[in-house]
Amino acid sequence: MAGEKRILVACGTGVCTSTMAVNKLKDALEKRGKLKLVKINQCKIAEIASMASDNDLVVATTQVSAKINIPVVTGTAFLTGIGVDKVVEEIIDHLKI
Amino acid sequence: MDFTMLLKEELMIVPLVASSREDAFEKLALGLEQYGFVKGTYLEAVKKRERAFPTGLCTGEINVAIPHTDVEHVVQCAMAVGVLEKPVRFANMENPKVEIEVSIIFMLALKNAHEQPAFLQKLAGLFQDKDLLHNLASKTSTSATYQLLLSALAC
Repeated sequence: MAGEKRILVACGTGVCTSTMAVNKLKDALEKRGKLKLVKINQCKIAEIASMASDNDLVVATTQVSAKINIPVVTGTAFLTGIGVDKVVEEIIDHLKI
Repeated sequence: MDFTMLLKEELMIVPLVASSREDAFEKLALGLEQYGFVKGTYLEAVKKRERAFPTGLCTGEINVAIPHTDVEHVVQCAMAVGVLEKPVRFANMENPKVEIEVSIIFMLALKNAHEQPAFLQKLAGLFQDKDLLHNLASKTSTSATYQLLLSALAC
């Protein structure tokens, strides 16, 4: 869909915790009827700087030191289950969806 | 999908007696290497990665950690599990400046990007089950730990 917002889910290796987080994020967005408004991709933290311009928001399971000009949201809630709603609201607010 | 294939009792250490997280890594990686799941470079790569991107997860009561590293150090997908006799300190994944006491370590050897998404999501689901984590942390044998994880991952 044209105009969908793009979310980049990032972790250190790009294979482990980002994978864990993606499904929970999808579930949470689906529950709010927002899943079809976004496109979700995964990457390594080290790739964020080069990929930021093609995305609208980063959900990272680790700290992001790179300076990028899109919002960064901490995604460990999707691993621990603690504070998921708050993080999802934050994501929805940032993306204005 | 059958997650139980990834669960191997011979890769579990319960109780795991370790003086530090790196000591725990050495003990857990030994089995992974011995059974041919990882290359000789895996242990150092895990230690290095843990320093750069810590994997301690604050789950509320029983904290866990999921040390792992890049796929090139892995031969075949596997998971080593350690239930610590006494918790060891890990830096917190979301804020490396904060240290947390970790009781259970799930050391992951992942071979391909997105190879086991369903397994990883299932595993993350366990971290959200406080009763299960308490139950796991109280285990004193590998067989009891194996059986509990087997039933938790199978359902």
